[in-house]
Amino acid sequence: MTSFDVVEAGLAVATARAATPLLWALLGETLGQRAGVVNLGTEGQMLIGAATAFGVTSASGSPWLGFVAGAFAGVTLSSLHAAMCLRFRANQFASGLAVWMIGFGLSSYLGDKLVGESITGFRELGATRFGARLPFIAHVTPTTLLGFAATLGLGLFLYRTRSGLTLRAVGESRAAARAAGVRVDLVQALALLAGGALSGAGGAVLSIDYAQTWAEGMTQGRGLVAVGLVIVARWNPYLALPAALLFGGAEALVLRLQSAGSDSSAHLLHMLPYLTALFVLVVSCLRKTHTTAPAELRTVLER
Amino acid sequence: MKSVLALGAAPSAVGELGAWRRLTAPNSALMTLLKTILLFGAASALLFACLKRSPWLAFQTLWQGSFGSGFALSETLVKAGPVLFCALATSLPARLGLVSVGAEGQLVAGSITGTAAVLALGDVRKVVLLPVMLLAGALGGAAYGALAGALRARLRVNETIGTLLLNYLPPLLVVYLVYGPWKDPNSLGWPATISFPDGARFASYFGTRVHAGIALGVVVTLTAHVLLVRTRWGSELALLREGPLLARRAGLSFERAVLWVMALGGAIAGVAGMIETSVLESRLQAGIGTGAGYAGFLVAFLARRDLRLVLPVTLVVAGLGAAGDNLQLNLELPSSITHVLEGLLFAATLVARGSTTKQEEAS
Amino acid sequence: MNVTLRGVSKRFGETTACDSIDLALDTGEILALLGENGAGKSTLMKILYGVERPDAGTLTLDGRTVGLRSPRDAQALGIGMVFQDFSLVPALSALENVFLAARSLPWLLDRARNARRRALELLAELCPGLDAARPVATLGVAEQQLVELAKVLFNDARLVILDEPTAVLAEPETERLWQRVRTLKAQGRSVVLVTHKLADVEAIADRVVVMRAGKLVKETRDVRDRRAIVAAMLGTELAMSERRSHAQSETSLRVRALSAREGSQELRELTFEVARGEVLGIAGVAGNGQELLGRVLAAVVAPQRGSIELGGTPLRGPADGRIGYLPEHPRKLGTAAPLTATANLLALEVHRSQFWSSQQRSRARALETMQRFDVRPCEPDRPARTFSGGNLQKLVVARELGCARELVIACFPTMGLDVQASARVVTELERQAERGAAVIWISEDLEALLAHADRIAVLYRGELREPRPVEAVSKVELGAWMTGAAA
Repeated sequence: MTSFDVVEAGLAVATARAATPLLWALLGETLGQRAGVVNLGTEGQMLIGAATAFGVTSASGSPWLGFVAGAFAGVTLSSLHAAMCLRFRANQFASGLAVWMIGFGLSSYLGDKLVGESITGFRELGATRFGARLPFIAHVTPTTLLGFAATLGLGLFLYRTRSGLTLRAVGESRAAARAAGVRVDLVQALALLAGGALSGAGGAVLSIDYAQTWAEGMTQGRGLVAVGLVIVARWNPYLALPAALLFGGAEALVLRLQSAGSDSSAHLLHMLPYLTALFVLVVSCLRKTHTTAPAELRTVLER
Repeated sequence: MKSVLALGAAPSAVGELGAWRRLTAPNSALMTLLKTILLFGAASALLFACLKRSPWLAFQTLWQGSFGSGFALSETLVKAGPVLFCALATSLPARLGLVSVGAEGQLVAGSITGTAAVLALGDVRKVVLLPVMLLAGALGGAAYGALAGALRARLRVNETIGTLLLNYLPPLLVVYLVYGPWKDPNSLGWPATISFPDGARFASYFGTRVHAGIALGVVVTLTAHVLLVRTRWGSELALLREGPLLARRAGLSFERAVLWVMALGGAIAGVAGMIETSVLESRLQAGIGTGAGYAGFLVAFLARRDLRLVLPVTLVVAGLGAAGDNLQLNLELPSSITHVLEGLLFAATLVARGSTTKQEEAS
Repeated sequence: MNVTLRGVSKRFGETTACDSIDLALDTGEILALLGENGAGKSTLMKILYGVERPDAGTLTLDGRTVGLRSPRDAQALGIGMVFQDFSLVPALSALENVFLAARSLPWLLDRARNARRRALELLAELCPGLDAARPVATLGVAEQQLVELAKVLFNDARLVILDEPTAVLAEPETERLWQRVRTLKAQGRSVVLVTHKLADVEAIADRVVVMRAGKLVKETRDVRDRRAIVAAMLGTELAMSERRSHAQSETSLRVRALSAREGSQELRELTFEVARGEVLGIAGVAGNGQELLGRVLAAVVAPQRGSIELGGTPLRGPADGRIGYLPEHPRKLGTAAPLTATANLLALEVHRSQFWSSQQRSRARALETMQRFDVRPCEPDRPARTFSGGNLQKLVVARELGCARELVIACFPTMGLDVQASARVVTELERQAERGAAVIWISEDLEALLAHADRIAVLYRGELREPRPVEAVSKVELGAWMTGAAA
């Protein structure tokens, strides 16, 4: 299910490329949870991003256009979640699930005609003059490097800018932020929209870069894994990278083992990424990570 | 803190307003229902319009496909079975304030253990095999539910995220079993187990696929309702949910209740899984029960706290699902549109309830 | 800053919180706004700070009439407020909290060197030795309050409003606060001090204004005229009554080397005894372990070490009706809000009740109890959250003290209650003591404890000072112990 040969690319490259879609979604969800909102609709946002990106790339021939379109699609869907949670005070889990259903259904509809189509997605950087000589860079695509840059950028934003401080304050205490004159609902809405863009981008990476195909439900739970991994990464965008790499590594491992000796037990291996995510989530909760959660989020997650 | 499935005031007999005024007050359940229907109608009409289909034709198709004919009704009933069980599997944990989305995975877990029992016992009389099979299914679902419960009770892993992640495992296990150790050597192409012996089959009625499982579901629902409303168990659950400090002083243990309630819910979903397996294809194969869990969650959410409402709401949601094929036939829309419709129904309910609450706050 | 309020009124539904208030404040003046809880002082200040909009009236600052739509407007005009419930973000540092509230700041915080220096200087000046990089949750309450003040001064507020600042402070910290306030006055800023304590007024105010039931009833520069001021506050003279002790000789509660820890609260090796019918008062500023002590004694939280014996038997886990517990927040901790009054009243016995519940019998019992304790409205099927704060407290008292208990734990039982409601709670506590219960009364209100307890102990930083008979201690001594002064 990948657009490159997993074995030939080597484990490191395969891990990085497998991790990239998840990384984008993880960054998006981190923003939202830091502001105190959980978005289970991330899965739907990824899917609609994937379908939209694939369709636009197929029609226009430009993967970059598809990438941006996917992000836009994600924003649109996340605005529904923002509206329901903030304007209509809906329960965040319920709202996210509704958005997921809508995103799943819409992406299936959009992708219905795209099944089996082929596109020219992102090309590996090795094809450029600049990247051909570098060992690791040669085999990854721009989206992976952009993902790394986005990680850095998000960290800088959150910890070193005034807006980031405001966002963190909103996630810790709406009341205190409001007393300081912050427009709390606006900040949370913007965080959700930005999260929508990032997870839509992640879906786009999945369909026009990693797999370069479309299949219904192709994210297979990555969006939900992202929601869980934010907790593992302790809501720190810098730690999103190792968390995503962990999942990506599990997935790459599975693919390599599958191509090596394929029999029915390969199907068991498919459980590995989810088990990994669950395992680290459990370990995080065991180590009382929830005490470092943004306080407003804690009231959502623990009752 | 309130559960998503129990927003709003507990039913009360405050006698100040007349019955009619209460019913038509802006924040009454009836008003919210009407708002929901209106919003859903508007949103889905908009959807169909955007898809360049006539909304009126679409609604007609939906009606025909769900309740418009004997066949449609029977298909709706068939779909309603697992959805009903999964709704219960969600409503029970909700009594404790837990938001469990795990019915999807618990259903499949039950079908695995139930199939294991069938495969182990072989061709035994129905009177023995059927109950054993169902019991095995219940135990499998209960174990899987209790797992999620333990994660929440002991390790404080949020149950929504936990169950969502856990949902992905049983279907993958099924694929492994059906391609591997349980594969029927005679089934070419489509991997599945051997067909179940007669003793493990549910009878269907009226020449359709309708089976006794639905009746079982109704019985379980009503029993659960009575137990929750009239017995001490119901009061204890309510206290654990709404007044944890008081509950602790009264000697109740939240952790123990979580395990019980998740196990019970899981058992119910597991039974549904086994019934589905037995009825639909009479063998285990990949793709069992997909979507029933999430549809069940939607039903439980819509029905809020009154379990009796689960019955009619299940019919509506199941009807929506059953009409999907009709949409494909008449309007050339892929059946995945029903997912969008379910999501829109969900969203419409959230918005309707949210606007009602805002009115309450303003007055 | 010159401030003039003219004809300011505000109503919340049926209640008039402020009734045509006229108030004036000079530059460099310290004005005390005095009144009982519910008199309307907080509402008036919220109007001044832009949190609430008045129904009528005008606000004039330095000669200009202004309309405030939000706290942001107020801050822009130079008004700052230090709230009673702090508006600090616990997980952020003091510096970050100041930055959050800053009116203007560069977007890239790395470029905010000047602002950072100014903020750190301000923090050091207000609170020497403060670590401005630690999360404020780790700071003591007094330090947190000074950070709040720093926020206000960083934006160069010319009018500073302090809402019940001494509620959470002990004596030396209060004195430090007054020093800071005098500095503000010297800097030409105006200060409004909202309080219900006479001691505050006498210590620092230039002028005092008394509010009662939404109206401004007295204004005077003679801040020491206690009698007149109290009369204005309460509308009547205070009546002191004599108390008769019910303490018996038999020991009921025995606590040995009790240690526990929960969150930021800690108890260290507490050892004491309470006799049957005795009222033991435990004084201390909130946050020194009182809430934890209440929960441990009520058998809700298990101690790490030590033993508790009640009536000769060790206390472990739910005590099956022997204990009555009034928690410090009746609404949050003492009731299950969405459940009916009936369910709340019978909550503690739920596991002992019959399997098939009889709604009629439960309702009848609840009705009778509610009538006995004058809970209004007397409707057992109403959800608990629809009751007012005072009636909710009555409900909790009805449940906990409605039948004879062996041990009664009251944790800040009169906090936030008006005079009548307080008196009712005290009566019930005395009644339990009369019937032989051991009563532990945890409170910050030294006057109440001195009036009603047999012995008093002090809880400071998790350690309990040996209980002394009430006749043998003075307020000054107690105050000193509450802040850690040596015996």
